[in-house]
Amino acid sequence: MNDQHKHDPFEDVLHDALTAGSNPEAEARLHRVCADFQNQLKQSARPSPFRIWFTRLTSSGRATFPQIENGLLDLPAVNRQYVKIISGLFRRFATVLLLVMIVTISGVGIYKLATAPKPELSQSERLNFAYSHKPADIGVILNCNQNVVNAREKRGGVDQGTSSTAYNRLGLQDDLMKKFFMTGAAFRGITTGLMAYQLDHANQAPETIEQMMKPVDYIGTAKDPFGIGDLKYVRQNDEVLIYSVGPDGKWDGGKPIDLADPKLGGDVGIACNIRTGKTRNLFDERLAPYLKGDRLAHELGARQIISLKGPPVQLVPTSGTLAWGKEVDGLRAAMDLAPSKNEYEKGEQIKVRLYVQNVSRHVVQLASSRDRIEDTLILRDEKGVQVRLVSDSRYALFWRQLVRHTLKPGETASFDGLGLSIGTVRLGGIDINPNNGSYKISFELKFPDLIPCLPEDWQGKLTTGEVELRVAR
Amino acid sequence: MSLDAFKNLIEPIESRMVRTIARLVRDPDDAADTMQEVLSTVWKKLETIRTHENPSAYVMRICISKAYDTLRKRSRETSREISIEDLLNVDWAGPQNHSDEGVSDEQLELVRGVMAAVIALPTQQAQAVLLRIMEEYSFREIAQALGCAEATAYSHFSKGKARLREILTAKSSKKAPVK
Repeated sequence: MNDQHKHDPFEDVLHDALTAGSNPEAEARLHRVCADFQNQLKQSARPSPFRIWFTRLTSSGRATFPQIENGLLDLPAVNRQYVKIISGLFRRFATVLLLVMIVTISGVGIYKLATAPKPELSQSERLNFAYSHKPADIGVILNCNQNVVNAREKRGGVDQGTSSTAYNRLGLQDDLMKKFFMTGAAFRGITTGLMAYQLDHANQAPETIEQMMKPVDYIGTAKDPFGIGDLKYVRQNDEVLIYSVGPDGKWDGGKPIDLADPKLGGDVGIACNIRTGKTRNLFDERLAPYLKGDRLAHELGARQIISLKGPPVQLVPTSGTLAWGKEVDGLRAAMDLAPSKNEYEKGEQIKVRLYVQNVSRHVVQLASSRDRIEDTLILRDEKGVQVRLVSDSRYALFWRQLVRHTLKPGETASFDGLGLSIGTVRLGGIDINPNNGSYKISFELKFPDLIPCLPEDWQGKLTTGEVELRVAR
Repeated sequence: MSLDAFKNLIEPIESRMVRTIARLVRDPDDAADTMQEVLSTVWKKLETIRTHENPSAYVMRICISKAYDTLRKRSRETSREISIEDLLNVDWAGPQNHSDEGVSDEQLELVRGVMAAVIALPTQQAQAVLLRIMEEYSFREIAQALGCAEATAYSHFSKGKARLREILTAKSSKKAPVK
C-alpha cells in the first residue's frame, strides 16, 4: 500500500492512454472559464451604491455587512441580512398600520356614538309626554325630545302632527310659535278695538281697519305678523273677518291652514259677529293654543331662549309674614295692606301692594300695567261665603301704561294693586261695604292684564295668599 | 469567505485542474461546463476546503469527480471496444497523425475506450485509479483526497485497477489477438 509497491506495466499503459495528447485551445478556454468565474465573484461581491444606501436607510446605519474583507461581502449572509431587515420593516409597518387602524376605528366608533341621533320617540311615547307632563317637567321633556326638536328645526314646518312638548303639540319652530301668538294677540286687540269702536259708533263696525285705528282708542297693532302689511279686514254680512296670511306669507283667499302641508299653506283668521260680539275661529282648532299662547312664555323661558324686553326687577324686600298663594308655573303671589292695622274702620281707604315671586328655575318675564285695575278681589267671610269683586276698567283704557319685569329665579316684583274703599266710593278702586267682622281677602292677578303682550310675557293667573281684614264699626 | 482565499487556493493548481479536466472530458463544451461546476463547488465549499488537511488534493478530487460525472452522463455514446493488446500496440510517444487534441484518431478512440472502462468502475475506485494514474498521487494523498485511510485508498486503487484489467482482458478474448 505504500508508494514503493511493485511496478505494474499495466499502469504505464493506462498512464500513457489517459495522459495522451493535449488540446491547448481547450485548456485556454478552461483558463478563461476560471478567470471569468473569479471576475463574476468580484462583481457580485461588491455592494452596489444602491444596496449600501438601502441598507443605511432601512437600518438607520446600524446594520453591518457580515464578514467584510477587502471590501467584499459574504453574499448569502448579506442576503439573509436583507431578509431580516425587510421582515423587520414589515413588522414595524404592520404594527403601525394596526395601531392606526385601531385608533381610526375607535375614533370613528366614538364619533358615531357621540353623534348618533338618539332613538326617536314613538308616536305613543310622544303623546304620553305631551299629555302627562307637569309644568315643572317641561325642561326634562324638552331635553328628552331634543332630537325631535332638531328634526323639526331642520324641516322648518310641522313635525308629523305630533309635538315635542305639551304646549307645542304640532312641533312648530319657535319663530312660528311666536308669530302665531302675535297673530292671536293682534286678533284679540282688534276684537277689543272693534268692541270699543262699536260702543262709540252706535254698534256699527268700521268699513276698514284704518277707520278702527284712527280714534287711537286701540293700543294694539293691525300689522300682520306673517306678512308685510296689515291684517286682512273683510266685512261680510254681520261679520267682520280678520285674516293673517299665515306662515307661507301668501294670501290664499281665506283658505284655512292645512296642517298636513309642511309649509303650512293657507290663512288664519277669525270672524267677529257685529251683533252678538261673539267670535269664531277660521282655522284648525289645533292652532288655537298657539294663537292663545298662554304657555308659550313658560316654554320659551324653560328653554332659556327668550329675548327679554324688560329691565331687571328691583329686589323687593319681603317680610316673612307674607302669605304666598298657590304656585303656578313657578310663580306665586302675595299681598299686603297699607296701612297695616289690626282693624279697619268704615270710610277708610286701604292701599294694596301686590308681590309676585319667581320660584322657578328660569327667568320669567312679566308684562303688567303699572296700576293693576283689572284684578279680582276675593272676599270670604267667617262663614266661608266668598264674593268675587272686580273694578270697572273700561274707562281706564286710555291711560294705562304697560311695564315689564324680568324676574330671575328667587326675585320678587311688586305692583300697586287696586285700592280698597270700605264703605265709600273710590274711582278706580274696589268699593266694599262689609258688615262688622273678620274677612279673608285675596286677589286674583291676571298676567298680562293689558293687551297686547309679547310671546315672552308670562300668561296666567295667580292668586295671592289670604290676608285678614277686620272691620270695626 | 473571500475572493482572495479562493484565488489563493485555485491559482497554484489551476493548470493541473485544467489539464486533468481537458484530458478526461475531451469535449471542449463539456469540459468548460465541468470546469464551471468545479469552481462553483469549490466556492461553496471554500471554508471546508481551506480547513482540509490537503486542500489541493481535495480540489483535484472534485475535478475528477465532476469529470467522472460528466463522462457517465455521456456513457450512452458508443465507443469502440478496446483491449489491453490494443493499448500495448500503440506507440504513444511516436510520430502520429495528430488531430486537434494532439493524438491520432486511432489513439483517441483508444483513450475513449479506456475512459469507458474507467467509468464502469465504482466511483471511489475510479477516482483512486485516476488520481494515481493521471496525477501520480501517492496513496497518502489519495487517502486525503478521498477522505479515507491510506490502506483504503490503496484497496480502492488495487480493486479498480484489477477490475479495469478484467474489463479490458474480457474484451481481448472476444476479439482476435492483436499482434
